[in-house]
Amino acid sequence: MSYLNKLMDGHDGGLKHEGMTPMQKIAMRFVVIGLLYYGLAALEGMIMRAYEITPLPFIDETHFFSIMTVHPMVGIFGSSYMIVFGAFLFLTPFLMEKPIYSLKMANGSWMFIGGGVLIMWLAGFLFSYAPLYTLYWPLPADTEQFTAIGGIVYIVGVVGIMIGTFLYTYNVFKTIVYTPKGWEKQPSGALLRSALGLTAIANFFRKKETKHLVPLPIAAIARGTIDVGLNAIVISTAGVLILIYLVGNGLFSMDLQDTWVDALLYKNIFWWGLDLVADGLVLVFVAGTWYLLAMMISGKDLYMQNVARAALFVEMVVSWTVWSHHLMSDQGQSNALKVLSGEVVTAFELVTQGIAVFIVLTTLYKAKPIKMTNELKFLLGGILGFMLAVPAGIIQADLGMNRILHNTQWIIGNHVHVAILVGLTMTLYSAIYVLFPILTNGVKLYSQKLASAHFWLHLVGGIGMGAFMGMAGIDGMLRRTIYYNGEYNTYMILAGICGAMMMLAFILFLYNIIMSIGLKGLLGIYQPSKIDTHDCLVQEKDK
Amino acid sequence: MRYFIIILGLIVVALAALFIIKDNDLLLIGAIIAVITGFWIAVFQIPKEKDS
Amino acid sequence: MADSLDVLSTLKLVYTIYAIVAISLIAWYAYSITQKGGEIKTASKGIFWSYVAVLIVMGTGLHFLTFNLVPWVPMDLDRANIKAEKTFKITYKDHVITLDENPMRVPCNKYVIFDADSEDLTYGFGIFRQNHTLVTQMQVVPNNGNDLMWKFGKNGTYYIRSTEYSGPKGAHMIIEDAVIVSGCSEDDIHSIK
Repeated sequence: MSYLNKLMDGHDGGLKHEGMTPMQKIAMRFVVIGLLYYGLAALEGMIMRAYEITPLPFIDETHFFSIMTVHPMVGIFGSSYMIVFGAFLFLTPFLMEKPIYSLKMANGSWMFIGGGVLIMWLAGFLFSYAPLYTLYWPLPADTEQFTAIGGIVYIVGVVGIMIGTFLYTYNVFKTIVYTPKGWEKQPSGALLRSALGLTAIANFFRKKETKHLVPLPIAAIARGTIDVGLNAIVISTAGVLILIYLVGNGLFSMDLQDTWVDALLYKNIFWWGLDLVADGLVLVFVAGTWYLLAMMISGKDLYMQNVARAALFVEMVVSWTVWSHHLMSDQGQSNALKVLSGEVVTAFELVTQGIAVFIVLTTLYKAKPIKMTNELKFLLGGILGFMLAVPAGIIQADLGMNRILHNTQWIIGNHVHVAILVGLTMTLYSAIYVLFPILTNGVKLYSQKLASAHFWLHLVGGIGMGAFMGMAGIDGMLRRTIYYNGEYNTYMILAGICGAMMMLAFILFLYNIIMSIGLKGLLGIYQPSKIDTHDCLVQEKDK
Repeated sequence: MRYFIIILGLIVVALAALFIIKDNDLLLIGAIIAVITGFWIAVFQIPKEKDS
Repeated sequence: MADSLDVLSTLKLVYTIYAIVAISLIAWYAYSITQKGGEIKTASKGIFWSYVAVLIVMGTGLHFLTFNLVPWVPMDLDRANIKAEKTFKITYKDHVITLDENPMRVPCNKYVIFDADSEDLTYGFGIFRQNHTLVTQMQVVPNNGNDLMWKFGKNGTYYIRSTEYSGPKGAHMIIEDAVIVSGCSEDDIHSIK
């Protein structure tokens, strides 16, 4: 078989998209777009890495910061949200053993989020809108530094992302609780209470325990989805506020005073919502995904399953109360909020995440000897990522340490990038390797050598980049700024090399996947499915 | 549908909170509790809706 | 009295050791679970809950530790009740930092307050040594009180720069030699010009 034929048709026959169910196709649509946006975020990251070594002549300062503005949005919403939502919109009906509530909504989710990210990215690329993802009031409404039209385009993109996100939240909850047509009536309210952890709380006060109606991964998906919804409400609120000012002052020359909104209050509410991503849904979703992967890889029941369920609930509640660790260097913030929310409650993230690590490692250990498959090694890489990043976060959420670490490269290197690129992304890669044969009806991987190279380059590159950024941070290098005189060049060159390793890892992974499924199969994912999900389930029932 | 309407209402409430609350921790915490409670109410509307 | 360099170098050492231990632990675990042999025992409930207790102690213990060892923590929490020797007014507007007193001459081992106001955007106030390491910082939020109390224990000349992003122009918000500390028995070797 010629190389060209293999590229078109895939390895060993490649992906036969005609045999895919709608849910398989939708999940793959999410994942493919998520991976493409990951590539874009990685490219942006490399441009910024190079710029931190020496400012590039073809990119001016404003455009550099517009890249910095869209980079986390593309990475989080365009990539992580897409891959996670795609996986969960597949797994929720799969684990609940019924069809998804709405295929149209699921398709709407990836279209709105994918389209919204593109529009938002264009606001940076075309209009150099650059208030960063933090959007500290009143910077995003500053029409002296940025054009109003740039800001409006950005917010339109964000609105698209939020619409797609709300559709996802509804679809997940509805899939858990609804009764498919012609089926015996399901206990909707009880299913939801079980998924959200209310049944478990009630069990504490009952003599006879009520059985959990949903499997553990569904509990994680539901609880994380609560944080997804809350986060979307807050981001939407900020978007509406910014839009009011940009349209009013920028387009209609009104005189809306930015002092009508207190900047510190805005920062509190915005960080409360934004933190639900970092300290809420990511940790809850990741723990849930680990549990599912551990059970699938080991074939064993989860160790301390009830504790795991309780920890997921605690993690959700903790995530609502920790936002103040982002405001420890804000002197207007009260001491009570800094100490209680910022320090004490935040410390419990070490506990909940530590519990998840222990449970997963013990569950896997029960099944030894296990073959070191791709999914297992990426899972262990993901666990290591959080073992490194969570303590780094606890350290910086301390009044003593935050005074000298806030806004330095330590935060964004050791904590954020290690958490996202090593912890979260390697967990997602593990899930992708597990789901790949399920979603593609058994397509074989083109090259195991490429998969191994992907693993090592990503792991070493991710930890290395975080470490060198962190060391630069300890030596005083700030994030969100430019150094013109090569003050931190040694660290930045080393971080750049590590970044390049991760970029290469991604290229190898993408090449491996394309060669496995073939370009024809890849394009076929976006054609309508000829199979009705309901028919599949009837056939399964008849067996 | 009620889910989405409540969410729209919560966005309006949060927007109003940005203009009304100034330097007051209790009101800030109250607003956060209101948004959390409102969203849980929205989610618990979902089982009550018809499975069309 | 410990300064930021002491705390940061301790952090670098402790975190590096921790990272090496964590990486080694996962590497050992990855090797171990692929190997046959021995009876497989899972951790008892006692071990599990002891581990949880250790996590709680470590998570919260860090704050007790820094409260007692890092001098600026109790000072910051109690700054409303501590009388400062001197207060320096600093104003931020249109990406320009204006100092009422330039340079700000700080007496050694005396409490001083850096009192910053922003008339437009959110900025940051950071004091840096000549080797660019960070001495201290705070956020400067518009229409809010931004007062940072500090005590310097070594002689030195420091620069200030905005530590928060306020738009592309913010990267240039630097004032060289803005803080001069004198009267100490010891020099800050990284801040002597």
